[in-house]
Amino acid sequence: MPFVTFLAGRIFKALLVIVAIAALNFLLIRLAPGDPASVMAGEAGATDPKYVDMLRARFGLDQPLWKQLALYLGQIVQFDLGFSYRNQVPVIALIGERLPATLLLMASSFVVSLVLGLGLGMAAAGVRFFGRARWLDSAIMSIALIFYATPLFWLALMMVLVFSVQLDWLPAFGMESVGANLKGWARIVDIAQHLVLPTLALSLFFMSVYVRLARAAMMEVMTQDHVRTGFAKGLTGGEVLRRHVFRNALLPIVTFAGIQLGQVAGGAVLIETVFAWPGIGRLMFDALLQRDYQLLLGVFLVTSATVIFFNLLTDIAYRFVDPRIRLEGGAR
Amino acid sequence: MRSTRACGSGANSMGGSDARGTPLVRVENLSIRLPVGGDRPFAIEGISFTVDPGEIVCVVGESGSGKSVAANTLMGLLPQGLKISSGRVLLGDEDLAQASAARMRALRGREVSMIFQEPLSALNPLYRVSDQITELLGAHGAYPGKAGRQRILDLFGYVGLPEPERLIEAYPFQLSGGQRQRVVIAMALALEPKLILADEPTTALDVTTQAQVLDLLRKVRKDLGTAILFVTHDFGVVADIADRVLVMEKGRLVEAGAVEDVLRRPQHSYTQKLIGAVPRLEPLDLPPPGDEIVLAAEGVDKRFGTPGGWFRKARHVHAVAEASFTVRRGETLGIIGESGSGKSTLGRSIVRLIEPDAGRILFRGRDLMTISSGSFRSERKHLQMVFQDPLSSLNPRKRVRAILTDGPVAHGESRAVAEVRAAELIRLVGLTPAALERFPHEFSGGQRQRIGIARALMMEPDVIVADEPVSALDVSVQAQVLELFNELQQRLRLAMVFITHDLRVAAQLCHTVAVMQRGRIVEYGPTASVFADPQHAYTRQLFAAVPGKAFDSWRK
Repeated sequence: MPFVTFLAGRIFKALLVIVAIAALNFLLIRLAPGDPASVMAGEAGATDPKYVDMLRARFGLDQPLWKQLALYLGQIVQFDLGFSYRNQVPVIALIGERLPATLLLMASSFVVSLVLGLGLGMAAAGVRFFGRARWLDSAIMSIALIFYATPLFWLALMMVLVFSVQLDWLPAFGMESVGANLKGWARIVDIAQHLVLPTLALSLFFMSVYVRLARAAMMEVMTQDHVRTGFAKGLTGGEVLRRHVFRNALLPIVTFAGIQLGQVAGGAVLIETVFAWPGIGRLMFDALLQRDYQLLLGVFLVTSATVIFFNLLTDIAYRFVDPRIRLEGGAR
Repeated sequence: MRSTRACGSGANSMGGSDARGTPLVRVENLSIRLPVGGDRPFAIEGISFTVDPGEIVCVVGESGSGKSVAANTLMGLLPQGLKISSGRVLLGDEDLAQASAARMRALRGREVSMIFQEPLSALNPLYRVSDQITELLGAHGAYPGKAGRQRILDLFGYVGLPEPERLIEAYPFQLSGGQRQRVVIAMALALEPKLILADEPTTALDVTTQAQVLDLLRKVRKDLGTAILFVTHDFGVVADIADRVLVMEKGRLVEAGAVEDVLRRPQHSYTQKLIGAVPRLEPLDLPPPGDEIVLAAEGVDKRFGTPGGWFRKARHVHAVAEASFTVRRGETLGIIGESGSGKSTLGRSIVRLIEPDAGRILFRGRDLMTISSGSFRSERKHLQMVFQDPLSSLNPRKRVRAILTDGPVAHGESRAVAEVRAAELIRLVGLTPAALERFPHEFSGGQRQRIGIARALMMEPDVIVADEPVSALDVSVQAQVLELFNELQQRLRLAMVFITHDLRVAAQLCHTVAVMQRGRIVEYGPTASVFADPQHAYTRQLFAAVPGKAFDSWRK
């Protein structure tokens, strides 16, 4: 299938899915008891039903459900995610303010876990491949198992305890030093320092998954005949490992990388809370507690769109890794 | 035991710089130890042989005989855990057993190259076939730059690939099985090695493709003077291609000699047993079937395809096209065809493991296609299947007792009755009742297939559909299982549908044969008359491609 047709088809389907998700989110959220008007009225200490009704009318909550849904979907199509009455700002502005922090954390933990995971996984499979230094394989697999089994929040807290409280090497929370007002290079260094602990906490679990995945996939490829063909050509072990083992083991890794990228956007809530990282995960958590429907829906929509976007990227990556997928149904 | 007969033809034309009569390969008293805990101490024990320049030497043996290990030794590519424990492997004057890793790398692909059994898995699926040959050229610094592409085009032309200019861009999955094996051969020839090791190079191919590949290898030997060490289990292939034969049994070389001597007058009892087990191409005289038509297929039709989508065209393959046949009580119908001919689809349609799109399947006059799935369930016990791979078709976590009795019990029989019949049947298929307590992996391939047959018989079926049930078995085991099928049919008067690609097997078992090509039955008739005088061009082509016709005439 030509690439353009493939892409057009996938984007079209993705848009339909996003609209369906938006509608589903909208309806699901109405199932929860209580609405923003009653919460706001409750917080203000007002019990006057007329005041609550007035709030409802202002937010459009007095309209029939289908009308509210139609209105909401109409807004979304125009890239208008609504208005957060709690914060008195348009939702899109709130998300736009928080999204870069999450994307930064996501990107850095993605790169760190992928690089470390593939490196260690390759090393573990490599020593098996050459039949020497097998202890290294056992050591790597033990480390991977430990990080795989350790709960994320405990790991995060322990790292704060050791590296911030005890050793005072790295900042414990936030994205920038409060009130330092740094500019240019100094600011980048400051943010990088703040990034280290949350990145590590988020990466180590995924790293161990990549280690296991890469090792298992490579061990399986090693038993395949074309690896023997590689040796029969007179290639060195390293060449065979790189060109004929690693490359062929990439497909399951790409699959998981896609899952990780999609998950991090929503899954960062925990880490963002522990490290007080001003990202979209915490925004969502706060919106949930405050029944800020418009904001919550906006965050949901953006995170689902991220998942769909990264799924699409994964499928495109498949086509580059594996010609069988790229040329399926193509000229024979 | 070693023959020193030199082979003449074309030995000096290209590549073979050795003088005539001096062996290219001398293996002397070679032993390779197996890791502790194997079923025997040595993979290969004290074998000696030679290969002359331009000679084709076949190594024959059953699975586990060590024949592939013997070939891999010449490449220095032993599996992990195997080491040469004594002996010499001389290529020219160089002892490969002592050669350094770097020296072995320099030899691989340049002096000695290899052709593997599975041409699809022997090529890396992610690279273009031409890139995989370029990689070989690059590893030896040969044909740099543009010369490489020209070399590959020449090779592709030489091995008979159509449109080399187009195929040079192809990925392995875009080629047919025969084309892939030609690519593998082109790769093996790229640097004109003195020796090619061919490990069952035609076993995975269809019979007509096999004949073409054997022709190509003969041409290579003639044109380039390349010596070929050809590992195979198939005596038909041996008869067609070998100058000399080495017969291996459990790591030992039991017989060696010129092909005609060994095949006509085998000396060792093992060789005699192997050769005796090869089925003959003439149809056997079978007891006549009864009159009652048990099974009839009328216009069975099946298409496979992917449905179209928003951005995709629908694609269809006509797997079975209007197939019709009848099977009487006590009759075996052979469905013969090459891979992709639709023979397995037809077989599975009969027992409705696949739902045909059209047609009628009459079992004792009742149309199985129109009855409800509930009443089909009770009919199914009369229609049983035996599969090709006896290991994967038996549940590895169940004891043979459960494998045999679960079916009848599910159909409402009491466990006690089922157990009694299981004990009877396990004897009938030639195993001891102790087998009932064991798990499938504890048996050899032939024994497992016996269990598979017993499992089918447990339901007391009227019809058995057997899909290539002997293809995965060694030749001596295959002969025993074929005999079992014949014996069971005479005793139980079953109607059998026997799916096979092997005309020799069909000749041993089938009263009638149906030859399938691209989903259609192109020829259908009594085995004796089809074999004596095939009518359809495709049937004639199949017969022409059967290896080892000389072998059959030697055995008369």
